[in-house]
Amino acid sequence: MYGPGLKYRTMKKYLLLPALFALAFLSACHDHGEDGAKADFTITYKSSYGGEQMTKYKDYAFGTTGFPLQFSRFSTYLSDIELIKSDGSSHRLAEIEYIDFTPDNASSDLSATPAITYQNVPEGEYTGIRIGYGVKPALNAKDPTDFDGNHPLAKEGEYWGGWNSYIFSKIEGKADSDKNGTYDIALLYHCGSDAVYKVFTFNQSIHVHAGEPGIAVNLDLLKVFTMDDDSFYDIVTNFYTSNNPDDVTVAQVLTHNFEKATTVTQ
Amino acid sequence: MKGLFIKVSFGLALILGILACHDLPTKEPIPGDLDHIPYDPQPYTIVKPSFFPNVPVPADNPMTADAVQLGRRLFYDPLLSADSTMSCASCHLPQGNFSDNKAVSTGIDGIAGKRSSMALLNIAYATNGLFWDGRSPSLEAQALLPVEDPIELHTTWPQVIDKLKAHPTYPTLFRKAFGITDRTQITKELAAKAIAQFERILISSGTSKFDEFKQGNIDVFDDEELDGYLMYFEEAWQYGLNLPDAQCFHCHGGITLTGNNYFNNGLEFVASLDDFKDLGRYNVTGNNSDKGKFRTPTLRNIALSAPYMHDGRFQTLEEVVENYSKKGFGVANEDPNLPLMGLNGPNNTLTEAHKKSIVKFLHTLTDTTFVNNPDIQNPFQ
Repeated sequence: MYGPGLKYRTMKKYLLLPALFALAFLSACHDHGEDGAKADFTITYKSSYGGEQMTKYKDYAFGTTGFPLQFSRFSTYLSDIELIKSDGSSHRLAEIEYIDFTPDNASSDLSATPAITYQNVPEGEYTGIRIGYGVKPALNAKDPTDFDGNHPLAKEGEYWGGWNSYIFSKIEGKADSDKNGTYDIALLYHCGSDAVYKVFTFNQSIHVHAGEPGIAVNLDLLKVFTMDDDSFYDIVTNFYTSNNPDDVTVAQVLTHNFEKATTVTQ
Repeated sequence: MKGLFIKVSFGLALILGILACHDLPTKEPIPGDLDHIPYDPQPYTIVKPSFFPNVPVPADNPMTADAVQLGRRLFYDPLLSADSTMSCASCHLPQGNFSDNKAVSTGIDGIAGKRSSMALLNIAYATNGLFWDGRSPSLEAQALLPVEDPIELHTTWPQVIDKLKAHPTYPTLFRKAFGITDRTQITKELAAKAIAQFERILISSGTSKFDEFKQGNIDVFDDEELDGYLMYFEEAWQYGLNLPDAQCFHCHGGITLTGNNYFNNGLEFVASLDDFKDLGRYNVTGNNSDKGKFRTPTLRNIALSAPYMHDGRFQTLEEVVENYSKKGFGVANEDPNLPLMGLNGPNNTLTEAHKKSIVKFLHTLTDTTFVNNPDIQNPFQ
């Protein structure tokens, strides 16, 4: 009497419901099953000088003569922060972060230690963490007008139109190179442009489990200014990053040094 | 006859009484006295140049056409001061790029403040604190303060709210803007929200000479203006020119020409940081090294915003550039860009010609379309 239409509608009713239940079950397993358990995972970003938490405007000894050196600003962009598994796969925690160790609202000169919690990180054992230093090229092709409000890449003061690039990292300070009590050198390292972007992998056993502590990623400024042969970088000659994006030698040296300046601990 | 006169007089008095009561508050507020007025909020789209970022708008204060208009009236209305002589606009005039062109502003009692009024152009993008010291986190929070400041509008919010409630027009405008159902619901928070919405529409027109250049009309600058631009942004290399770096863009960069950060920009020598006459950002953070630091203002329309610096100490742009060319005074927390002023120039300095070119470039930032925009003028005139 009702013909094939009813049969189809009845079939649809009886097939659709189990399918929906199955889908719901699978979704639930994804979030809560043994293999799919997820947890919050916190990275605390820190900066130091010679192993000591960096403090703005504090005199640090630098170079073979130990002349005074001070920092007044240190900030950096980090891209594609990923936890790496033993099978080579990875879980990306963030596409981009802006880490400001010397924020305007700090109540002291002690460098800030921003802690960022990443949610829904698959629990388990990881063999390391991969970090892009700077703004990866795909994002560096954009500019602050492409982003809204509080997005890390919306910061006008972190972009230079002349480079068509974000300023990947800012290290500013001053030095008294001849130790006569007067700071004779202004240090201004604003590193940027795609040629400066570097990705480093840090092999370190990292456990991600609910309730367990996250990791600390520390950047040591003394090591940023220490060369591979352990000599000191010549900040007296190279006190300033080039204003020409075709000549990014200084910026490349410093970004290269970020690798050994970084320590990951849990 | 006498009885008729009494009846007519009583009737007239009754009618007059009813008319008088129409828009005035009764001692006992009538719940829902605004309920009959339609509340139909229409989203307001902020007009901005296509090459400007989207304007940040807080989720709890969405832009509506009625709230912007209410904010505009409140901004220009001297009702917000104790003696009804001054409004927000008294210190933030359109023709002065929404500053008052005075070294320091003076309040209703004739008492001079200690700082210059800041230009409000593109203030919506300032999300790193407001005022010279950044003590207010948002436009909504900022708008609350001048009303009760004894050297500004010098009244109290309860007094202002009473005047708004008793006003023939404002209760209706608050109803249309925020959907309140009776005048007792007018609050300082709603007034501040409306003012903030108006301030968020104070956006550049994108028609300055500088904007034309940035949009590809590279012939719009004369040679001096181009030199000034190249020194400001350190882009001389693009043209194969040998010009010094003026370091301006480090603090005054980005499309709004400010990063809204806090600096000691090398105005004067002090023997110790405690010797600054105005401690600036320190009053907010309590951080000793923030003494003498102030928020970087936008340089858009800077030629209309004289005098300059937080205390208006410089009358002209020439004086400003001259001071920067001194490369600071070696004070402990001075910005490290200062000693690098003129880098790559003759003896790493700016020549008089260079300084002149920079000033000429700064004049290309003038945006008269913005200051003459009828939508942001005084609605009472």
